[in-house]
Amino acid sequence: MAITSPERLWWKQPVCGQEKLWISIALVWCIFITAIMPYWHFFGKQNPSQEYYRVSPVKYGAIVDKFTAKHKVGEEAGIPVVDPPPGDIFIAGSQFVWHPILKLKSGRTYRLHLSSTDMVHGFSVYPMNMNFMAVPDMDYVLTIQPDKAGEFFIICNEFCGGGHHTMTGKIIVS
Amino acid sequence: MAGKNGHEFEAPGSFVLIMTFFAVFVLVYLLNWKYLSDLWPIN
Amino acid sequence: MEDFRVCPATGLKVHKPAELLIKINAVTAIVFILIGGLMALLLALTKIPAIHLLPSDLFYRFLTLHGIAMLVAWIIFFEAAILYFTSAVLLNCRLAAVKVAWLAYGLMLGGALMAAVEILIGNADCMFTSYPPLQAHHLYYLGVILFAVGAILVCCVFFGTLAVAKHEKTYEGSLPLVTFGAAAAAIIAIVTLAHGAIIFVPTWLWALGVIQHIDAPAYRLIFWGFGHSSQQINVCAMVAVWYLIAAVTVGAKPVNQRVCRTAFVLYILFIDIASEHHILVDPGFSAAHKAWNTGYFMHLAVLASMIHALAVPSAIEIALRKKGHTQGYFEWLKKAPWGNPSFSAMVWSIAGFGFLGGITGVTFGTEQINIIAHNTWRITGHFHSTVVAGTTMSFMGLTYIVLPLIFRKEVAFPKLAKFQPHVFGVGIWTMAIFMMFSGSFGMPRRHWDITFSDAAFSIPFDQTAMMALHIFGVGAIIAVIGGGMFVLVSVATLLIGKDIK
Ligand code: HEM
Ligand SMILES: [Cu+2]
Ligand SMILES: [Cu+2]
Repeated sequence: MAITSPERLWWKQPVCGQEKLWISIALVWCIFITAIMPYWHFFGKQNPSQEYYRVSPVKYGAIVDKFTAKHKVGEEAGIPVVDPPPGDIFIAGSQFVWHPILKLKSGRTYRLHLSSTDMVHGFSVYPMNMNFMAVPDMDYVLTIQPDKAGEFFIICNEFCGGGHHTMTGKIIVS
Repeated sequence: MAGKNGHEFEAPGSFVLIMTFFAVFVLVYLLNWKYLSDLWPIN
Repeated sequence: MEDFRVCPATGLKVHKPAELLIKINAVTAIVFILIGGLMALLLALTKIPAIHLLPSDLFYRFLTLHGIAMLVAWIIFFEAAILYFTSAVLLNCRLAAVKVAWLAYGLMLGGALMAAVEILIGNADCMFTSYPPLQAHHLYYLGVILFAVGAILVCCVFFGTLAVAKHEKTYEGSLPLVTFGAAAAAIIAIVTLAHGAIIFVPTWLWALGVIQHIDAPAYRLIFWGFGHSSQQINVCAMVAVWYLIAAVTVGAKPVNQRVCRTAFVLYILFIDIASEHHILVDPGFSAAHKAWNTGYFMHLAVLASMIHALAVPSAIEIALRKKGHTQGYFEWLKKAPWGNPSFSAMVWSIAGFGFLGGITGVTFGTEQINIIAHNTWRITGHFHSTVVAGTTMSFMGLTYIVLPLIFRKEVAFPKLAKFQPHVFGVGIWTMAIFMMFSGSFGMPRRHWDITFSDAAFSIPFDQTAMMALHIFGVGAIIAVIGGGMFVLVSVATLLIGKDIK
């Protein structure tokens, strides 16, 4: 039994057919689910970005402000709206808002810089359900290609302080 | 059902159960890849 | 020799000081599941949109407390009891260093209470993950550190006892499989707690003002070296408990000890390294690194779980077939001792951990799929499947064995006990499944207000997902009732249960 010492020479007992078969199936499956990750890197379209840079929260805040001032086209709910050309675009999570609001064009490629000016925030695009982390000290560059037009909301899905549930933002794709 | 010398299928019921488990596993896993591929291209 | 009694049921020689330590650790665990369960009820009632009970600050505070009371205190106090049981009792041995074991208990209790009080008075609204730059009061971190030091001492006492047993030849041949599994858990625990020390000590100094800055991404990496690996202690302990319950309730014999033990060794070797699946969508690592980390290594640990997933049911099936239930494929299952709460809790645990927790864990932990799961309620549903439907359920089953064996009391309210695992099982499955269902719409975790009433944009959240929150709520309430039944039966057994001579 499992609660008493095993019989002598337990390590010599052959593995029975049923167990052998299952272990083989399981092993093949484990190899498959491991291999599919690199496969998707080369042939799939959705992969977590590997591009990131060190940046202080203060500096990142300044970069975002400059970017916002340059491309600002309006304001919604007190948050600036920007309409940048394809290329580098910036968004910052700050207690408790995502800014600026981004206007993007469907089918174009953007390098979305994502970071935080204070706490760790969760960048969750609704209703698409696409999730990344906004971590202070790190500029995370996501190369995205919006392929559907519409209004997308950003929800903060990492606890970042008392007003965490009020932290939202918006991306408009036309 | 019980095999000779304990080398065959001694626990056929458990094997059916584990195969059911495996089928659910494969299904859920592949469905999630499908669901993922609906996102915007991101890299 | 007066330190021992002989168990009339099993013939085992039981070391009385070890017995007392098992009792006190188990009782403390049950007190914490009561606290955590109360918090769970309040959280669930807040998440049900039609009730939305707590104000936001209390929601986050109680969520932090729920995490600490359940994941840290309930689970680890119970694991301390398991380590003493599988070493001293199963090996017929005295517990090494009884004083150290008491010191460990004191540190763990003091630490847990310190952390809990800091949370309750509002000094640590930071969730159990406490990601900097969010900062809690320094006493909160100190509480966690004291708890971890206590837990390390428990592992030391466990290994000391193994050494004593070997030296005094209290058993013959190799360690019993259950003890071997517990040893694997303890090895993982020591590695894990070392990560805990590496990250919590500087964070504590930072809260004290000694250190100026804690690097947020580095904290996340090392924290999960601790936070994830400690879940592997739970998996390992849970599997050991499956073998234990199967042996006690139906006399199951492992089909092949070599296979089972190899699977435990795979846990030790590979599971620690999988911890990066918590930071797959974080900046800071190359894809090759992430795929390597969560792929090859993690999946060898997954293989181990899949091996146990057949080995445990097979052992049970063979034992029941030997008792004459040989018709067709499933007569043994129908004739199994379902009225025995240990047995039924174990079956719920195996099924819940496998079908709900394991499958979703491997899926969501896949590097790319994590993009559609990270920090949504899919994750919350996943870990309530593993650590509640799996680990907690198996520990409940073990409790029904420990009550007569160690506490020497007949289980009180046997009818209630018989239904308890089923009530808790149905509740937690419903709750976890609908958490994951609403999570697949992007429902965020750790979130007080899904209607976004005070937010800049009141996001119209999907109606189906909102409906699912009500079904989640029904499941959660049933689970809380099942948990309440567990606490009631255990406490009643201690207070008014008939003594077994
Ligand atoms: C009666 C059963 C339980 C119910 C109804 C319940 C309910 C909940 C709810 C509603 C949340 C909040 C999820 C969110 O909004 O993010 C939660 C979080 C959590 N629960 Fe439970 N729970 C139960 C049992 C347990 C047990 C037994 C454990 C551990 C062994 C556990 C561990 C956790 C953890 C670690 C969190 C996450 C805390 C955080 O995000 O910081 N729960 N639970
Ligand atoms: Cu936030
Ligand atoms: Cu937040």
